[in-house]
Amino acid sequence: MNAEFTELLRPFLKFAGPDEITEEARLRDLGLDSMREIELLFAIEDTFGVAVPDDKLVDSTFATAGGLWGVVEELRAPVGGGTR
Amino acid sequence: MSTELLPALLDRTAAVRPDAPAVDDGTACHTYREVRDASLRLAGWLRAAGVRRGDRVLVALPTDAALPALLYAVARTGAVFVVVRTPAPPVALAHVLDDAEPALVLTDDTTLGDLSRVRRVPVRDATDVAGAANSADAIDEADAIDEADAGPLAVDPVCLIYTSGSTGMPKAVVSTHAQVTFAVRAIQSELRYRPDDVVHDVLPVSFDYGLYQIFLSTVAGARLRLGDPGEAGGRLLTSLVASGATVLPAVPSLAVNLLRLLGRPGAPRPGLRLLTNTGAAMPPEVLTGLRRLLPGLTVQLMFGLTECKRAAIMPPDGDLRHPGACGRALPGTEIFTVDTDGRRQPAGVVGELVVRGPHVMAGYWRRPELTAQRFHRAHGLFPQLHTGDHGHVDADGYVHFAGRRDDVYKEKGTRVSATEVEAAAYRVDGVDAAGVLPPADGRDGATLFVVAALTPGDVLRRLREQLEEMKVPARCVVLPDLPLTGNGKVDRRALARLAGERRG
Repeated sequence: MNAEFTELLRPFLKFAGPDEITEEARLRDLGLDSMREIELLFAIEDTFGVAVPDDKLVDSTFATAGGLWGVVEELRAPVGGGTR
Repeated sequence: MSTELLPALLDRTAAVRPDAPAVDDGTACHTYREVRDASLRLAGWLRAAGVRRGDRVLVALPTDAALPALLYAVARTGAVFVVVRTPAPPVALAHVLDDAEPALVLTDDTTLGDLSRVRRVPVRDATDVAGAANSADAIDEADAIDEADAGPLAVDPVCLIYTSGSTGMPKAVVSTHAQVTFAVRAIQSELRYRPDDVVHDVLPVSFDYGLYQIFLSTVAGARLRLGDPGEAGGRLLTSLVASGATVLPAVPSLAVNLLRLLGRPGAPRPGLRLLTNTGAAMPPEVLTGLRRLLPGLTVQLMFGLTECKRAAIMPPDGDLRHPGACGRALPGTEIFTVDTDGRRQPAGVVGELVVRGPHVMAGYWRRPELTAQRFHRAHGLFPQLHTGDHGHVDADGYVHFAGRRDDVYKEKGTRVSATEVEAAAYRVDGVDAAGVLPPADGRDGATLFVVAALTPGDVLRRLREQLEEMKVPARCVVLPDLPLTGNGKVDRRALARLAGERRG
């Protein structure tokens, strides 16, 4: 996970405080509710220039920080080769 | 005045449309006959478990296709259902247990289960309920009622709904069968759900409008789709398409999410014909966007509070003709404003909104003083609900909401009391003082200001042990001291200035 991603996550996670956000961190436990999930989705799409397809709009995508980052990476790979 | 019992709504539809689908959760689907039969079996099972007329039954089970039959079953026995959302902090669950004093708790939640057993309250889980609902035993309607303990009257209580409001802990609004069935029929007369509708309910059933979707669907003979909370998020649009939803009961944040998802490239279009709004004011631009993307959509805005369920409903697309209004009084009820001395005011004059009618609920459970204040009795006799909401009613009867004069605000359409949040913050070890700044108009999320030897993250994490997660403010700011007004209260205007400076 890069720093840009974890700093993007932080405002959506009211229980994270200033602590490090780990790959295993469960976003639900850190305060991401289903309503804010959509705001996070749009923030990710804008920041990383990706379009998350409908079949990725499932609970597992938003389960952990690392899992969500994995989805972002996967979507970035075909165009940017993993970096931007 | 309604004299109907709540389960009679189900029995009538089950008699007319026995094989029509009543409820599904994406996995299981039950017809009206099946829901009625399950509710009769469950009523017998509840009685065998010792539940009697007037007892409270706490229900904290997953929102699935089995839930409507269970609630109707509790109602058949003459007991009172209390739907509770879990997980929740032990202190919140303990409060409900001690306040409602249930005779039975139905849950899979281990925290609630443990707290119940400590209080010697029997606990059954979802497997027990499913076993009783699906048992092969012949249905004996007399099982539900025995002669020594007759079934309920329409004037008996049928549900408690916990709600926030200017008190340290939530209090329960008590509704009778007659009040609920009147409200359901009055709402249905305005919204007109149809037998071919699919009502897709993603609002929590612990929230009154989420709960009432069960009863509204029943009177219409419609199919109710009970969604899990995840369907309010990323899966909202795909699940609406998959269910064939035609009606979406919404709060503003849900409508905003729907609009955003619809705006994505290649997004599918659900077959929604009706969107209703409650909980908070709907931004007009959200409706403009939804109407553009869903040309067949009709919108009905509403206004209400748990204390009377629903006060006002706009006619279909009435928001286009009467911008700024949130509805007209339900048929057979009225809304007017009073001045600070409680005198009725003419149309157009701003004051506290007062509601009269058979939908004004019984009062607050075990809170006689608070009940006397809110559920005021004119001439000492005739109940009228003083809502605490301010606004005016125009000459055509349309209600215009202006705001509240107390400390209650909305988070995602749900009522939250600043007093309750502050009381919870004071229970956190290390917090010396606390003040809540409600969300500014159009912004989601309150800000908590504290004097504490803790980091903001620690304060919010510890607050989660004291308060339902939805009520925990979005942000926390630690200050050396809190700005106070001349009479020693937290100065919210000064807090608002501080918040503005921090946002830059």
